[in-house]
Amino acid sequence: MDKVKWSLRAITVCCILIPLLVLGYSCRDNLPGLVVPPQLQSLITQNGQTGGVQSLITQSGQSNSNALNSTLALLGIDPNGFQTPQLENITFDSSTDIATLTVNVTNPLTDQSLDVSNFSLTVAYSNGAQPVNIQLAEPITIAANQTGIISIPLTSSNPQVLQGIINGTQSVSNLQVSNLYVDVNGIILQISNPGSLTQSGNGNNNNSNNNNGS
Amino acid sequence: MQPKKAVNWFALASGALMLIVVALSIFTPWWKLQIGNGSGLVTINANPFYTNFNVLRLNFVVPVLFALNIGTMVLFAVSGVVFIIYAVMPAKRYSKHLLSYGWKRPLYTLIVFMAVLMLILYVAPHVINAMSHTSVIPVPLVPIIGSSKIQIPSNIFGGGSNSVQIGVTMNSTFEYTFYLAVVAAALGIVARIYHRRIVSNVIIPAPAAVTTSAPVSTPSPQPLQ
Repeated sequence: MDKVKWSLRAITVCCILIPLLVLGYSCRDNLPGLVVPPQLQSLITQNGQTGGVQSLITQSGQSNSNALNSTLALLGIDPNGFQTPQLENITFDSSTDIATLTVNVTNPLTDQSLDVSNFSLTVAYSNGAQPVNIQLAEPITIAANQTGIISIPLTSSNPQVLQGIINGTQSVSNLQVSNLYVDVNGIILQISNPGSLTQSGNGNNNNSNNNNGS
Repeated sequence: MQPKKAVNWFALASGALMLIVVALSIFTPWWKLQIGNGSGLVTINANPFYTNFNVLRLNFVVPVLFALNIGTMVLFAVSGVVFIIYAVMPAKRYSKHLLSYGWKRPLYTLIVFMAVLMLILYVAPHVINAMSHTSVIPVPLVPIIGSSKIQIPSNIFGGGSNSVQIGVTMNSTFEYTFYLAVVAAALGIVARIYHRRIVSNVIIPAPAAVTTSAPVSTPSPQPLQ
């Protein structure tokens, strides 16, 4: 009966030790390979570098940029997709009190959509007028790898002020923006004092965000 | 008339379930943590048989964890087979060894899995906070089950008048494979209890009778080494 007992113990020891020994043998020349995922190693070595992570860090200039681009591409991120959203148009519907921003955006993620479920900010005039809250009226989804124009519906706690800003009847010089809150795919960014908003030119659609705070 | 053959049905069910759990766990983790909404920007799939990390749908496997996972997987499957062998032959003299080997495996695997999970989520943040004399890391790191929002401490970004804060929505859950393993462990315990009843009901033939009826199957006594 002891044979059965000892055989089972031997199986247990073999099951635990054999994979570890095989791994140890296969990584005998590359000890970091025991803990660094091979996928991560391949991301680094695919860039034609031989020195591992350290070489990626110490590389400079064009080669480092190429290495980073290749790594991003393998992670499903289009390196050319990081583009500042371009404001195309702003309209205000007085019947619904909803302002609609038309923006040209690019989603740099090739496999993952970007879901903006929450966006809000507070604007206040430097002359001490009542601050106005502006928030997203409904969630926005930017499909994976999409480049195109999307509509961003915004509502406000004071629609008249929002309408005035959009139509240009209200001055936007020294319009202080505060309490910026953005929720993209569950990653929440909060900035208490992102900066001020100024208007360049005389047209209604030429607002620019002059972020001098950060 | 043939005597009714004793079968430990609980052990049979537990052993079969152990094999099913091994097969299903390759595709479905026991515990899953999603960082970010929807399909998750980062997903951690914790599993005694296949633990991996998913960043933007790119899969990462830590080699040393993978080796341990393979060992545990084979061990669990072998235990399942051994438990099934015991289940159909519970009255053999060597069956108690098979039973002892089989019924403990899912229980021990569950205990070790939960202990490691608790260690990472509850104990490790305490230790790191104590060592750094701050409360930078939240305790628990993430709730073991449910949804939560983890605020990354603002002092990481250097503070300042802008006070940038980044929060991350996390969702952790136990998947059905974990609950199947719990059922397998529970059935194993019941099988262990039921074994006493089987043994008391079955008359085990005396060794002398076995020797006379089947001399070929009985090995001659060997001197102790």
